[in-house]
Amino acid sequence: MGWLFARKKKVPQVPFPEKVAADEKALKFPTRAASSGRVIEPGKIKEVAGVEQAPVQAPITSFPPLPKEEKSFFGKPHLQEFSPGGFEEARLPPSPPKPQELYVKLDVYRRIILERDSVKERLNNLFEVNKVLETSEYNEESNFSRLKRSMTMLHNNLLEIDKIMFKSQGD
Amino acid sequence: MEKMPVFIKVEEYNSVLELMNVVKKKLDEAKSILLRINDLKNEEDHQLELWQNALAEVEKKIDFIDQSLAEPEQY
Repeated sequence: MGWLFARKKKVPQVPFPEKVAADEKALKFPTRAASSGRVIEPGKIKEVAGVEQAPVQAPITSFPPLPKEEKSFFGKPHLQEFSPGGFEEARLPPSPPKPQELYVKLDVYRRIILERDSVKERLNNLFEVNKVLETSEYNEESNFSRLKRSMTMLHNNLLEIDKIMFKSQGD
Repeated sequence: MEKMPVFIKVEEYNSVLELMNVVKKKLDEAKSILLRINDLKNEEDHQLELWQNALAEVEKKIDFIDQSLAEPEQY
């Protein structure tokens, strides 16, 4: 047994790992030097874009848009709302809500009036037709009552004939 | 000078639109009621036709009874 423990096993010497800084692999923001080719500084935007000076604001000379003319009368949105303020109104602070207004072209307005008169006339005709129908229904009802009465009388007469004809046979 | 378009101002535009919606709903209602009345009228016509056929049949039978009672030798 002595030979078993007499010789000491030689373990190869492994070098210890060097001490690494704890924040070496920590997340870092890229430095400017590393990405200087891609980053555009805020002050250089105009130069990169090729604009030397700031654009001069053009004076407002256009007029506010007029409402569009619509062809269809009963279409869905046939008239646009007209805002007389235009650009000037857009700069003002929001005003309290006004009642909705609509601007209709004169010929369209005339046609609306004509159509309204026509609808009123049609409705008056329909009222007349209603009166006729009511009378007709009344007549129909009275005729139906007369028909029922005559049928009842006919049935009674038949019963009477039956009684007369078969009375003698029964007796 | 070009002919300039003239516009008429319609106030309370929203109220007009709401009223138009009500009118359209009433029109739909009237249309459906008219369809129902038409169905009822068709049913009524059918029943009247049945009445007419039944009356014609009764008339024939009454005629037969009448003739057989009036001229019994022929039957």
